[in-house]
Amino acid sequence: MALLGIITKEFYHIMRDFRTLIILFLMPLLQMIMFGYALNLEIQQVRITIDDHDHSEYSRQLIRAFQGSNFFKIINDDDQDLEVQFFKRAIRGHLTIPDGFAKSMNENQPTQVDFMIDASNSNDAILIEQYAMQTLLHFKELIGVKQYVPVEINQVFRFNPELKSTYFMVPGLLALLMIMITTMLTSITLVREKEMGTMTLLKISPLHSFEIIIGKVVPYLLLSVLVGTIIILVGVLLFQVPVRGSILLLYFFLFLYCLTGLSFGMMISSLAKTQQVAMLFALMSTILPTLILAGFIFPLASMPKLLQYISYIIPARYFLVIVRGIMLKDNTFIELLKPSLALIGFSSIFIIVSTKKFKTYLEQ
Amino acid sequence: MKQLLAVMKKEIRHLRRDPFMLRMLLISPILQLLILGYAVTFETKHVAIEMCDMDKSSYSRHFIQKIMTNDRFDFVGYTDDVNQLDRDIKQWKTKIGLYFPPDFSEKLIRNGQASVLAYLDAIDGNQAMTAFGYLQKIALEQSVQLIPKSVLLQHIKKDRIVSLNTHFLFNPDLKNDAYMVPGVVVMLLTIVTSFMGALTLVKEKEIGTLEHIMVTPIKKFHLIAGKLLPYLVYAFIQLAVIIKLAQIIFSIGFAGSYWTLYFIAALFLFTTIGIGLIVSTLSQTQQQALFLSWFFMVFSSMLSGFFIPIPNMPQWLQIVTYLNPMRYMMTSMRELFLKGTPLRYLLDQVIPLALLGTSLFVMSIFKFQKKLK
Repeated sequence: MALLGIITKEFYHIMRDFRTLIILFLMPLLQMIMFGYALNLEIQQVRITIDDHDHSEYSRQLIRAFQGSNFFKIINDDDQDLEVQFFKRAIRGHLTIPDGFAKSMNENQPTQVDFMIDASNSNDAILIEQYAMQTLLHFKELIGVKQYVPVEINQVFRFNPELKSTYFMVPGLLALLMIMITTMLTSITLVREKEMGTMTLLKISPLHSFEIIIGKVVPYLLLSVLVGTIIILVGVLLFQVPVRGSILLLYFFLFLYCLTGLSFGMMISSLAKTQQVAMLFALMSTILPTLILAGFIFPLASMPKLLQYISYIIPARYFLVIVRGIMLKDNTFIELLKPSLALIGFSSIFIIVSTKKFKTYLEQ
Repeated sequence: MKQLLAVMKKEIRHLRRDPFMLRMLLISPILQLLILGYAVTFETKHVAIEMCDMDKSSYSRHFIQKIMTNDRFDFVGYTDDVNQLDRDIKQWKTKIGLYFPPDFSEKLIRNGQASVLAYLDAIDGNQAMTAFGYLQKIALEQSVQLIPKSVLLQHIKKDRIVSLNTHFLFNPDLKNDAYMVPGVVVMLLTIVTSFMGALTLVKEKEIGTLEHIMVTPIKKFHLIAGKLLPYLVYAFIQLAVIIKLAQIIFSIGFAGSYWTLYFIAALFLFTTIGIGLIVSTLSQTQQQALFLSWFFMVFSSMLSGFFIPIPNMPQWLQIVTYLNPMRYMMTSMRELFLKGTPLRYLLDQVIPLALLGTSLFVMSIFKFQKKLK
């Protein structure tokens, strides 16, 4: 079996480069742990100052409502210029209770308080406003007024009732890390041999170009599935993300996804002339698109249409649906048919192109 | 001086001979700015929503109409089976399923109060929460218009209206890209200097030409400086161009002083180049260098507050971020872009950056020299 020979040779190559091997295993592990802990997008305590011009029982109740909310932290106004406070990032909001606040309330007039928000982060600003409104409701409760809500919306949060961000992040990280690792791994294998001149040795061997490609992919496939297993284990054990669907199905898709990444790297390798070009291309075409255009954290639906179309050619987009579907929604193979066909399509195109390219190179 | 110029000339010639690298340096920042600037957003828009309207009254239809015309939501269809809503969420066909019970309008008219049920795909918890907030807002606004005046007044009398008069400072139009684009600029600045700096030295090491240079009378300092200066100059030009482009494309103003920005950027570039140098001493092959710089890149952008707010991180991780130069650059860039914060209020960013920069740079030079011996 000539194929076996290539596989063993490639295995030796991998084992000999100890440094790369360590990076390969350690990096995803570290990134997984850091990302898992850090990727918490819920907004935390917001520091505000309060200016009370009314000094009434009502205004004190309002301050108490803000104090009681976990979301706001009131800091003492040390008579500094408000603008400076915002510049120094000491506060993100400032509430002014106008004179006559209590009077207006007692007369049952519509009453307003002024709230300044540092809106440089627009998303946070919107949230801060929402929380301030909720605090107003709480204030009404404190003074014994019932808020009138004509249409109430009862909500059921499906698949993640506690709204844990790890449920969202961990499957995403698997998709992100695996595509980067697999593409980087194979992107240089062919070029390195071209650059070092060992390719001529392969040229005179009786192997078919397809065999060479497969022989180079197989060892890396096993290696990357092993890395994937580590990532899944960390996710399940450390971050307690459930695997609600079939593990077998999950592994089937993990293999398929690794194959897609490895064959993509192979294609880069067959096209590139130098290692540097191959690696840079592998890096640029995996990290950013996967991080940004695959629905990993930034919602695709909010982007311009053109970018949404581009996202269709990013393999991670499909794997994200698959892995989230299996881990969280207990999706079956039938429900995931479309994304799995996409992955199979990608892999076959990449392998065909790299074999073709490589063949012409060998026949030169 | 002559030696320095010679090394610089050599490096520039290398670059010019490599059309791929050159194209990458010229085009990719602009392309990335465009894509990142538009894509990096946490806004919740066009969330797929499916309706199950069992009431089928003018009231429920009015509601559905209002949700359909709102660009926060994308209407995907109707169903008459409430269980279908749940199934469609599971099968990725919709993100929200909204159920109007048969007695919706009746209760609304009679009691002035009714409820609907929303199923939300909560895998992305933040988005689910925000979308839910928008639904509530629509419900509140619309119901006031719908309910008969007499019923409404009766209820409102018992309530007291206290509202918020909100002033959004620094970014009154609440533009999301005004916050994200300055962050993208910092990312682009870091990529070039740390990656290129690391690669150019390792490349010579790998091909063996570094030894050739070492036997020439060129001093090590000149070698390092000569190889890195072109990239430094490039980084500054890139910064200027990207900032102008960002302003034009995304129509964001730059509120601060350019001098302050360039001053802080210079401090920051010291640190990235230092990291590039350290990476080049740690690695023997270009692949290792690339892996390592990628490692640094991912970590530093993650711990910089670019897209994950630092206050959200656990305490121990927040302490780690203080060692991250990008964190200070990120804050400064955003402050300068949007708020125009004067330098004296940015000192808490500038001083740690300067300290980190000098120590990293000195450390890397020592390490590099030792390695060469």
